[in-house]
Amino acid sequence: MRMGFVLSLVMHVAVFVAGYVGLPALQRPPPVMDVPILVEVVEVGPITNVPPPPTKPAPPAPPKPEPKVAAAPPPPAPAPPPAPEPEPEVAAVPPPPPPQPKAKAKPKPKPEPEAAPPPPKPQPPAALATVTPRRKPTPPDPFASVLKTVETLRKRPPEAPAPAKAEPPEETFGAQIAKALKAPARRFDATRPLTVTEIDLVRQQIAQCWNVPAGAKDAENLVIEIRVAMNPDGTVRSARIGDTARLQSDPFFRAAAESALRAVLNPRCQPLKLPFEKYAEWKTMTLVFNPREMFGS
Amino acid sequence: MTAVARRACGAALAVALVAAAVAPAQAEIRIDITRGVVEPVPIAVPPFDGGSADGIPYGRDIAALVAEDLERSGLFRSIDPKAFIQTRLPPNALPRFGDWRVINANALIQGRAQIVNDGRLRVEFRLWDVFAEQHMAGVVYTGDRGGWRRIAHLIADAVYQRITGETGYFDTRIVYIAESGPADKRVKRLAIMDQDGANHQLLTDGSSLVLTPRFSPTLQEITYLSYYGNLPRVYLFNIDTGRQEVLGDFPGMTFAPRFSPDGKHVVLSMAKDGNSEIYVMNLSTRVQRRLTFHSAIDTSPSYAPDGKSIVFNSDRGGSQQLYVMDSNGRNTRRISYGKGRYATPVWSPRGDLIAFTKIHQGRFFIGVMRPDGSGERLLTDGFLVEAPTWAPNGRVLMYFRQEPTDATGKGGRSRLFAVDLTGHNEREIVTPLDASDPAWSPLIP
Repeated sequence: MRMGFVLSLVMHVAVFVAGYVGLPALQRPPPVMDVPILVEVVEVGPITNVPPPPTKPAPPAPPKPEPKVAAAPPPPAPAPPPAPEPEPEVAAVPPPPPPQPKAKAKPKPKPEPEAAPPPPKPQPPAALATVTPRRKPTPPDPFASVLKTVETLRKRPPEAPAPAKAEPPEETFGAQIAKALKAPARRFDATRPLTVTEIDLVRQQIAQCWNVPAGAKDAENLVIEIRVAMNPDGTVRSARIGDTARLQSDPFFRAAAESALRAVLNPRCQPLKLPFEKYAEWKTMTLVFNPREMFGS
Repeated sequence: MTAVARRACGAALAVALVAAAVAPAQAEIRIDITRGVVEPVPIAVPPFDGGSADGIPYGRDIAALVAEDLERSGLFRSIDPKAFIQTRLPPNALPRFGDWRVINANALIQGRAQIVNDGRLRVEFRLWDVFAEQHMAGVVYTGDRGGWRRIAHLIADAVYQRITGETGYFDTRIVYIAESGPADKRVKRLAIMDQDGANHQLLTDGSSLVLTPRFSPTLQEITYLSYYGNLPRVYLFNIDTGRQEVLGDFPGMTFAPRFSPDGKHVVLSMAKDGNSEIYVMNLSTRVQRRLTFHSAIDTSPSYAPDGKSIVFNSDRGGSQQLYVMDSNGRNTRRISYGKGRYATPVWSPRGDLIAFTKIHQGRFFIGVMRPDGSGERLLTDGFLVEAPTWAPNGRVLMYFRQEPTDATGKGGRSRLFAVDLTGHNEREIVTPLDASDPAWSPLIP
């Protein structure tokens, strides 16, 4: 009887101990694979944060009324019917002399910063004050105006052009200094793979030189691939359009593809800001131009 | 094979597959560019090489007019010749692309204008892609010296088409109603001019009122509404012969005529006993057919470019809205559901949009929507903006804008404007008299 009680007690204790200690020990701790990636994002984060908003809002040509008028109006007398215009004859120009394929000097572009929303940044060790991380000012969206609608312009009167452009008010001078001191701390580590933000940087660079065919029929469905071979200094050695078959058949595609090709070849957007250490990775790239995002409606 | 071994094999295969899928992704970086800028394309149009002394003025003027056309489209920016580094561009040599790249010329037009032996004008041009150093287009035109403006428009069309992928619209004309005189005794005449306002001419003498001119797709003819003997009727007017005729013998008042895309039919409204219905008339047989049968007002019909559908406006739903029906009158459906009233729908020659006038809260708008009624966008507004007409490439809309008169009855000018269908680049087409009801011609054949 007593023996049974003791046994029962021992067994219960054993079960509890096993439950408390033993079983969790059997489980492997979850692998910490995410950590390096996390560090990467944190490190690069400030790059995206600091610079001013990248693209200028690109308001397409201001509608200036054409002042140039044709010659003096004829007297308001009943005029004879206009003579049929002389028919110019049309002929093709003989093929041009072969273009020389040599690339030429590339002017230095001015680096333009990165636009992607920054990943959340860990709170810095509160040295001077509790600082709310500086929010990137929302740049006026240049693409909201790709297709202008009078209605929305009227609904949105100009007194509130960009909501909350300014930094949070509690951004004190001391906090700014703290941030400024912290800024140069980030340094590039060549051993890491090409990261999202570096790609964003390139994306941003090329976007500045890409003149999107707005207003073309079905412009939002024109996706163009450009295969690019790069020089180690970040300039483009050669670029060609991927879908050559469609070039011949579809003039809209050809126009869009050539606009993409011009963006890649435009010396103002070179050299691409890619890390030299990773040249092996970006020696050849495919750039996919897809304007769909710009035509929201 | 045991279950374990089979599973191990499966796992190995999966690993191999994953590795195979991952490997090329690592080898090749793909970057999606989803945004860009919308800016006029910088283009350099240096004066065309004139050869001899009498060719030089033509070379200069043609190049200037080409640049002007392109710039007016809003899609191009002509680079100031003062910025040119290569100032002489010999017609048969390659341009120094580096010099043009530096000034950010994306495209370059190299041209030559000569007076050839028979005294005619011979103009050739080449279009170069400066960044790719590629020849894009090249054409030779020969014509009368007096037709130099037309040659310049043709060159501008060719350049526009090559770079944007759409046909140009510079070699076109506009017919419109020229208005003069006081408001109570307004004289309205039919007038015609090039799309840039040049070569302006009045076609009628103003003795009878004319309204709503429309170009035939075959170009030589205009259909319009005229009050003759106080009876409004639809007329045909041949530009080449100056001949004018009543279209059909309808029992009632006919108005709002418009050609079918093949130019063989005219669709119009006829009002009888206070109700207006839509009719179509075959121009060769003069057989008329009624398309709508409704007690409400149906008017302003316009064909789709494929000729299979007609958009019109009707108040059958209680307010004035846009409807689409098949060209035989069947299968009518309403497409406009926004606030306000919709009027004067016009189907784009490109087929993808319908332009309309909208009246909402006492204000007028010009807008576009897709043929199914979605994607409505208002491009411009004003006290009175009306009568949209499409450029033949479906890219630009022209309309007229009237200002309100002040207390003394002054003001109230009405003028022509053109706007790109993105809603940008609104420009006035300057006319010598007040202007309304513009109609854009197709490309001159």
